[in-house]
Amino acid sequence: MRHVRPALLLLVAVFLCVPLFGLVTGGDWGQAGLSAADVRAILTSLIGGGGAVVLIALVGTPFALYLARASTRLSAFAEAAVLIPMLMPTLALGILLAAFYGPAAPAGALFARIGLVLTNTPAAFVLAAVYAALPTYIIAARAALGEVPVELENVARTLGDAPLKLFFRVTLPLAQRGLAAALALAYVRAMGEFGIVLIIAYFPAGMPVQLWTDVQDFGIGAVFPLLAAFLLAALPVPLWLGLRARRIIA
Amino acid sequence: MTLAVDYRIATPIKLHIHCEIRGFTALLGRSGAGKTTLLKALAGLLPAAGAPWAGLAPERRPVGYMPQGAALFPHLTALENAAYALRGPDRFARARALLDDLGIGALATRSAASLSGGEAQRVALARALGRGPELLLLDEPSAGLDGATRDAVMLALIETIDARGIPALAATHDPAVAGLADWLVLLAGGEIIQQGTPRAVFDHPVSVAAAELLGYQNIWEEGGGWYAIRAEDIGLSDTGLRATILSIREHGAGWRLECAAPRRVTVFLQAAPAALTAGETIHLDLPAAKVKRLLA
Repeated sequence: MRHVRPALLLLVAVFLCVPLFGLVTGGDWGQAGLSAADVRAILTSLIGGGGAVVLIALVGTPFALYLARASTRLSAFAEAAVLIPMLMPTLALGILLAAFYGPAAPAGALFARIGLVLTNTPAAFVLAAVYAALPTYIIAARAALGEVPVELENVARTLGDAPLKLFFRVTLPLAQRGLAAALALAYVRAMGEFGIVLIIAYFPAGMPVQLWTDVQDFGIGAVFPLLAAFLLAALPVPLWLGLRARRIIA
Repeated sequence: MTLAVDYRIATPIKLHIHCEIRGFTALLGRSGAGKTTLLKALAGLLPAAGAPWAGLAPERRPVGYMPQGAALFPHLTALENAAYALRGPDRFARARALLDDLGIGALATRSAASLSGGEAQRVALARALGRGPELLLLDEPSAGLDGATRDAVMLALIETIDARGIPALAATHDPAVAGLADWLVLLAGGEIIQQGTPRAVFDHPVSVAAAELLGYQNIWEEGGGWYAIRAEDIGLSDTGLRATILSIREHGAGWRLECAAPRRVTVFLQAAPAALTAGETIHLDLPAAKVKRLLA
């Protein structure tokens, strides 16, 4: 038993890391480079995904704080509202969003009238990323905010701080590691989103869709430079923030 | 130093509070009686109707609130905690002066998370004083202190607050802490059942509930009236109340006797009684001056 446990741990850890070996052994690194379409896809993902993350932080943080503090019938409804898009298969979500925001749908037509076309535009890309990542962020942020003792917020109020001020002086500093990890998680979801963008934001292609079309056109071996760029954009910062939130690194 | 309070609170506990706060006032009540609720309502953290300040947001009330366990901001130093309510470029200098005044200037650079219970409480007091309060609210100030130094720390706290001339209301369930206060208020059944100086209240509990809160061990009904006497006020005599000893155990420097007379009577004896044993019959002396007559 004493030797079995570490061996089992090692086995599972190696199994989980196998995809990284594929990065070294599987690619046709010799002749392939980044095409102009690949570079456009990288920029689309970074700018669109980054914009989505900013929106998510602005909208999701107050919502998560409300969920962390309130327990009313309304907050129970709000919890369900967060879970529904998160649990829905992304492809199904994409189809439903197309049916709502599409040019033929009433809501889509309404947005189009004020100049906001929500299919196959940069705005549609951001919209898809927000739907993919906002619920994830809210749930993780809610857990982080829930760990801040309400008593400390109470004391801050009696010391003269209005709610918004005490959020920046007490709640945010105490929850910052967890909130940063939540944001990183949201960023990863936004970067990696495929099912929703496939339906409502096939153009402009972000990295996942570009990878998909490249695989179709040129085969697996040819896409490794873009794949590497994809992983470089998506993995390191969230990994660092995630480890920091778990206090594995300082 | 005197403040009249008239508060009606609906939730989480229904309370109607009518009392005075004079100097350092102890609010004595059982756990769950609503002490914390009243403190939070006075701080504006729970809704209440009445005077003073009802309807005013917590950040607008001239109140210093010290919850149980000090509740310092753990991401700040002692000095930053003390400076929290202060504004202006000289805020840290003023906070430093506050800490020096309370004899804890040396703690200024320490992280709040690293302080002991007593140290944290002093920093929390400095932080609350920075607010310039007209009333201090302390929730179980003796809770974080260990038994050996508790009374000394509590006395120092009371002297510090009294010296500044700020009325304070301290919630406690401990009659020993209540005995140190300038003024004592008893909370039971959702209202204030008695108030006065600790000596007056301890010597003359008005009701059974008051006597129980004040730690009277013997409360009984006799001929339609209610009476109470402290265990240490009962002595042995040759002729008094006939009682059978149920048990004897050491109690501090003396002895604690549980007797049946035939109602249950608890007695603390200072001197070790020679050769008393369980089952033996004795006579108890209940001095008339020490027997308190209670309202029901």
